[in-house]
Amino acid sequence: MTYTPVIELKNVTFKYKNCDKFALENVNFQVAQGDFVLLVGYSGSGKSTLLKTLNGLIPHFYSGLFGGDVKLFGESIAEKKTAQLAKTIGFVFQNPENQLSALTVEREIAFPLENFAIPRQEIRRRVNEIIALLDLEKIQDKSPFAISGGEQQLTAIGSALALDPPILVFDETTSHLSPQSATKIIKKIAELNREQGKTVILSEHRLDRNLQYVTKIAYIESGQLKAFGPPREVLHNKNYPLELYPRITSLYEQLKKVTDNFAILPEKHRKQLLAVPEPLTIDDFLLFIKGGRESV
Amino acid sequence: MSTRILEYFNYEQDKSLIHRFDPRTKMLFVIVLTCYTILFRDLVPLMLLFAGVTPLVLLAKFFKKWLRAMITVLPLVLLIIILNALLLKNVPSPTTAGLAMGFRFLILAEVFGIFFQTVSPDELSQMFIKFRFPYSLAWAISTAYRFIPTLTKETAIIVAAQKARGLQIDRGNIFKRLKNMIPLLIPIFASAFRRSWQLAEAIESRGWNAMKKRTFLYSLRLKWWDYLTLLLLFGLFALFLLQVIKQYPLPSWMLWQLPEKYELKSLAIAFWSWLKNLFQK
Amino acid sequence: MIEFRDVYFRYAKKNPDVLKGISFKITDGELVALVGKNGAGKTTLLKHIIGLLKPTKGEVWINNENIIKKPISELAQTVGLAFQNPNHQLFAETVEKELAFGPKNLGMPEEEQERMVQKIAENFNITHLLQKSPLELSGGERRLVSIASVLTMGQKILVLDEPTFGQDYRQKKRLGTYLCDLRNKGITVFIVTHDIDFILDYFPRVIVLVDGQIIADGESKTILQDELLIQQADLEKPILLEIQEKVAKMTNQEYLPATSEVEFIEKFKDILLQAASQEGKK
Ligand SMILES: Nc1ncnc2c1ncn2[C@@H]1O[C@H](COP(=O)(O)OP(=O)(O)O)[C@@H](O)[C@H]1O
Ligand SMILES: Nc1ncnc2c1ncn2[C@@H]1O[C@H](COP(=O)(O)OP(=O)(O)O)[C@@H](O)[C@H]1O
Ligand SMILES: [Mg+2]
Ligand SMILES: [Mg+2]
Repeated sequence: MTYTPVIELKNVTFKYKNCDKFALENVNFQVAQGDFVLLVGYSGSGKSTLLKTLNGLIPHFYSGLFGGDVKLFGESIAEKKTAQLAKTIGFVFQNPENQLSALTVEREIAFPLENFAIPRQEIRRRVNEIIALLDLEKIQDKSPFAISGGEQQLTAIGSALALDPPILVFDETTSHLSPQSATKIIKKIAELNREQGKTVILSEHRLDRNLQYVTKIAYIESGQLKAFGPPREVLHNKNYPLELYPRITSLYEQLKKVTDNFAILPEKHRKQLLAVPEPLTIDDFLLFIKGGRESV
Repeated sequence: MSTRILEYFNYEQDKSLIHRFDPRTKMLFVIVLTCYTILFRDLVPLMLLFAGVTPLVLLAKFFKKWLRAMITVLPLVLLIIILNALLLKNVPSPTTAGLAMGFRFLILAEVFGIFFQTVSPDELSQMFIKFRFPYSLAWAISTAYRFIPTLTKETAIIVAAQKARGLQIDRGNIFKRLKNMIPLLIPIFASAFRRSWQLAEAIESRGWNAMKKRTFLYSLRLKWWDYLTLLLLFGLFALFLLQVIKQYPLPSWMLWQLPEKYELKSLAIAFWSWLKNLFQK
Repeated sequence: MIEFRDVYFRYAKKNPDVLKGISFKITDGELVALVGKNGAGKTTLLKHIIGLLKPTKGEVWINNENIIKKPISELAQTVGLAFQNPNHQLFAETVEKELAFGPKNLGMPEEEQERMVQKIAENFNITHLLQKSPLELSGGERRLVSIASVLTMGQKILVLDEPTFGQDYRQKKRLGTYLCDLRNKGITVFIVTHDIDFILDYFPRVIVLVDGQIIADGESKTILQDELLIQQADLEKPILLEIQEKVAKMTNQEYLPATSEVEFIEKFKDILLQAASQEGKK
């Protein structure tokens, strides 16, 4: 059996009309089943543009120069309509206010199912399932305009999940939220990735609270994919900027520097510490400290 | 004043008896009542109609709002009555005709008020769907309606933001003032445009019109009380048609008119001569 | 100087109070962050500083003057206020014109305008955007331009509503450094933010607003260690503190957190050394 990636981009290039430089330049990458990809890049680097190519919003919704090919499960989407792809790929956007339109939260979730002419009983069953999954019982009859930003994003996630697509895309879905709601949403997304095997691709600015769930990082700069792979690999790529290090990793690096690669410690101890993988998350850091105490 | 009137036609979420009727029932109600209001030209039947419809205002639980709106339009109604009473010719009693006109206006205001008070924009759009209008149109209506409060709020923020940047809206001559509107109008439109664009992307990504056919989690369903009311309304409509075709004469008590001496014109003349007397003395 | 004296505010007579007896004083050259849950009344409070809203009770004083009678146009000379959503203020044909709009309204001489625009654009690294339309930029870029378009007005008091919203690390750092520079020039900076690391890095003082009332006001380092306050303000525990707390728990040591990176590194250097020396004794 040959391996087919869930998502595959081949030489994807895009230039917005009225824009002199390319927003995407020859982007190539493959995402495997069950991956949790974190798309990192400064603002204006092309994250949203890249994500929009995944379900054809680019080039269908934006005029400009498009080149290359996007494949989902080995099939090119060039000939497919965005609406048709809703069954394959669920999309959640950044702004909570501008993606909901139904009368109630419940109907927002039902909306994609109605679009695909699913029978009513089936819609009812699926909607209830999602409401339970995302704990939306309390707000299911409320207007999506009368709930908090975090609840709005959960509603949008619920709606994107309705058709049970195997791929989920999140474009800075938490950046309009308070830190507590953002963390809650990320946890939910991680749960969907872990428990339901959804392939997730997510763009974010905050690394510290996300990296524990992430299997791959994609780093994009000026429309070019500069690094792609497992987190530690990408962080050590020379193209990856120090500024975008997770706070924890950067603290570790500083500690390493101050202690001259732990040279101030006994040799055996030092070796032990260097053997502990570089910490990316708080738990990693604890492991590292533990390693420092219990080694020798 | 205009906000009062707008408010009067604004849907009020409530669980009144009238709210529970299907919008199609209420639509027929509006049609039948409008027909009758136009059919009758005499004061007594119109007063009876008014007396019959007013309890529905109470049932729909918007009496207070109704009263406020009525007070707001009272000058207009009085004007209708007075102008008719003074200027109408070729009728036996212009004042009666004027009053009839006034009641006609009030009945129509009540009937349409009840409809818009108790039919939500969403029910309205579902009604359109039932009448086989395209889904996109029905969706656009109910969505536009839902975004009105957001737009109002947004406009207020835009005005505040530009004022904080030193924009003075009411300064200078008319051209200067118009020019001062640009920093407000562009963000308002750009923001509305961006909003609809993002919404379009979002619904497209969730399968908008993916199939020719679509289903609905909820759709309108007539209940027994709707059937009963519809039956009654159809009966009334049949009577209306019959009357239009056959032109049966109305019973005489329905044709009652104000006695000559209470005519507005005669009252005015009497008042005038009384005044004249007063001054001549 | 900004001073609130027992300010109450409600949006309409029949609405409940949004601000309930707000009193605080910010002196010239202070950097102060206002934190609180969504709906706590932060934006409402900010609008009082430039007279967009007037207290229903109480007084707002700016530079030792009660501003109750002052028109916004006059206050705009002293106070710069940038709102949360850039889409609510960007309108000009080019970013350059957008940046010059405020100064022009204040009647700043043209040379001075140009100088300000250039300076701010350089500071925020947006010179390459100057000839672009502000409406066609990416979200983060728009946010930056909208903040910059207030900074060019050069007021003595600067008020920013959630400037860190949706910003990447690099932009936040630029913004923080720039605001600190302003402080050194005697400019007062008052912002709303949910970004606790940003506060710890740049803002020595924090005011916590809960449900229209100030429940804490003081040194950020101290206040942001209070778990309950953090919870009430819908913030997140700073990473630095969270690590130290967990380490303290793991090692059964007393939790005495370092609040800056430098202290943190020193502390962990010591922890490693200690562990090694204990090992050596054995
Ligand atoms: N609708 C558009 N028209 C023209 N240019 C655009 C449009 N959207 C984005 N761009 C430009 O494309 C580049 C990438 O933008 P975007 O993908 O939104 O970045 P990110 O999501 O990483 O912040 C930016 O330089 C931006 O100015
Ligand atoms: N224009 C307005 N009219 C009526 N109520 C408002 C208005 N603006 C805000 N509010 C209410 O005031 C409270 C505080 O809002 P706001 O100051 O925007 O909070 P924050 O900025 O802390 O999120 C909220 O309950 C909000 O619903
Ligand atoms: Mg983006
Ligand atoms: Mg606010």
